[in-house]
Amino acid sequence: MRNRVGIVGFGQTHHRSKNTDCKGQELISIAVKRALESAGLTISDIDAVVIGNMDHFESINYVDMWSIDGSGGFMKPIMKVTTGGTTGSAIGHAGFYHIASGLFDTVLAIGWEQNSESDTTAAISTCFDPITEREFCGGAIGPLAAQYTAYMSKYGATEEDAAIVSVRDHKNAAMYNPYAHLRQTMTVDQVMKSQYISYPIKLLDICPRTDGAAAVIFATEERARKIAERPAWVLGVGDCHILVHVADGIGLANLPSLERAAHEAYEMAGVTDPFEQLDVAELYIPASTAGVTWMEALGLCEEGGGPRLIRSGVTEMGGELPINPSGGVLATNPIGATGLLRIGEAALQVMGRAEDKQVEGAEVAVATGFGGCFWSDVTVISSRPQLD
Amino acid sequence: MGVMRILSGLHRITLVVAQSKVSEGVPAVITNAMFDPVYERVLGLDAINSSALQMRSYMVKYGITEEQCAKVSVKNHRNPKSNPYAHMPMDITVDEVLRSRVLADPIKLLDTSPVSDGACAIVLAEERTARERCSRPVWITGVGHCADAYHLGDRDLADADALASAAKRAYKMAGIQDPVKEIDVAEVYDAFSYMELMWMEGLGLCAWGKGGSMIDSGMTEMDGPLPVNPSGGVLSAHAVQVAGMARIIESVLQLRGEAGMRQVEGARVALAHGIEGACGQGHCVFVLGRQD
Repeated sequence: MRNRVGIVGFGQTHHRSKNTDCKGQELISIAVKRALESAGLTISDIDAVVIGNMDHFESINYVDMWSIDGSGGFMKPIMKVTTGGTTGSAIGHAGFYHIASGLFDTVLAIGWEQNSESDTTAAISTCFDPITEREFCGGAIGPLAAQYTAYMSKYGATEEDAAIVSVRDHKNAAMYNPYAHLRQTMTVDQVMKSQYISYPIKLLDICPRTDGAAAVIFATEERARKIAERPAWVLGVGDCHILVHVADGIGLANLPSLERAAHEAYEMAGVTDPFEQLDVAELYIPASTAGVTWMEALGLCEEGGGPRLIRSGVTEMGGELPINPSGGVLATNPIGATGLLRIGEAALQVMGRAEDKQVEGAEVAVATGFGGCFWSDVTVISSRPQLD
Repeated sequence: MGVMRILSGLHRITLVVAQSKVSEGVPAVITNAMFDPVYERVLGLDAINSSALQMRSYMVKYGITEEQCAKVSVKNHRNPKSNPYAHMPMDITVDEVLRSRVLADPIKLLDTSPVSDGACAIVLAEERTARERCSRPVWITGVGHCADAYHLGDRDLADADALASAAKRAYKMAGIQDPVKEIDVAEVYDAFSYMELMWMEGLGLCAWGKGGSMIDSGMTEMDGPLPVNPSGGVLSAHAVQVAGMARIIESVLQLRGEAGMRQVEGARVALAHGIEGACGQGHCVFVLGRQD
């Protein structure tokens, strides 16, 4: 039998657009201390550290080495993971593999970003081919805009469909999540009237740039049961890196990498009917448009059924499958931490520790990560060590 | 990470790839950005001058001489004359190393690894698949990694404590009790000549402070009892992100008896080592064993 992996602690900073009162290591330290406190552990209980952020962003090389005063990794095994936008989710998966391999008992996974110190779009542009694509595909918004244009054309979706996602996620952040960066409610009309950034994506459709950090503690089954009364079990992980060149245009209107990663994670976890079996989802939705187009890849609706799903209200708090009770990425986006926040928030839900944003009776949750050139990571987390 | 994916039982075969095109960057600028942006970067610290501080500190603490360090360079440029993958095989003398241009005292040009472009890949598999698919698999028997304090002033630069800890983990996992006796060949991360001596101490392959007398004794030469860097090591090819994995690849070739003219006869246990950060802040140690 495979080694079971539990999540026993989660901590995050109060996210801001610019943290003027602390530097990167201090941000990291806040998240680490809160994670340890939530698990009732001290740094001496930690066997190994995984840490990462977006390469180039803060112009700090060898971040794993630089961060030691904040991560608590002094004289411990440390590994850096950086995979673009999926960094946070990949850090979570690396934490999972540290335990699943049997090499370590208790592992601290940390994601962080001090976006205020970076030129985000310039840094992201370096992931596109320097000769053929960097000139016109620069930044993160262009490809997402192209995707929604293709989706609208193929399935008849509208800009309003996306606006509904934006309203939902911002409302959740404002009402339920004291850690969120943008805590403001808005109407569909306000989203629709906001300035175009790259058609059809408007200012209120897109995520912010955030300073913040997150830390998640993973443990072996034996340790997890001792540490936490109700650990969150990682039942499934899936990663798929599919595109190198955006211009290859593989499934532009949809997201094949998410479909494949979800399939992998669901199969490992024993999820056969995601809409029925999942109780809550924390999804890496960097633009509201993705909250429409990617629902089918997660198996939550039929092909082209995103608009109907979003308009039905089932993904709102109190609905059958609430999406992003935390407010998600549209409210908070410290990029290297963003994917790990999804895993941490999903874990809180199944541990019954999500406080104001708790989805009643949540037992099975899915968390996703997105980034790079349309890459995806999927994690299935549950209060039950296995699904029946 | 590749090892963990296999050990988790979730993946049967994993491809691990590294590439580095150092020629497209400016190493001094890149390595300057590993230092604290507020207090240390403005001093102009980079990989070379910070290592010079470490080499000096090592020489002062243990009485190591520049000649002894130069001998490492001579050996690691001579060994790769039989390694077609090496970047800089050369016949040089200790005198030439000592008379080469000073980059940051006491580090001289010929104490320093080159700027190389390269790529490498290894294929890992779980035991059953490995036995089915491969006639001579090499087993990863131990892995360990560990990191020391960030600021140079927070460490005793002359001792590689994090390496000692990483090696201890790897040896424990591999069941190695007496590394000097049990290890037949080692590939260590000699970005600068003095590093090979220091890292041998950290690895427990010679006593603390005895790296100098070790190289004088000829122990690490090709015909010595524990050849180190038959490939020429990092001094003869330094594609930064590749060089650590290249140490594993060279160890595999040794254990499979496929190392050609640089073959260490009868090698059964090999050690591969990599570093991270300034002056070897972080270390990673692999112990590899031959199919029996």
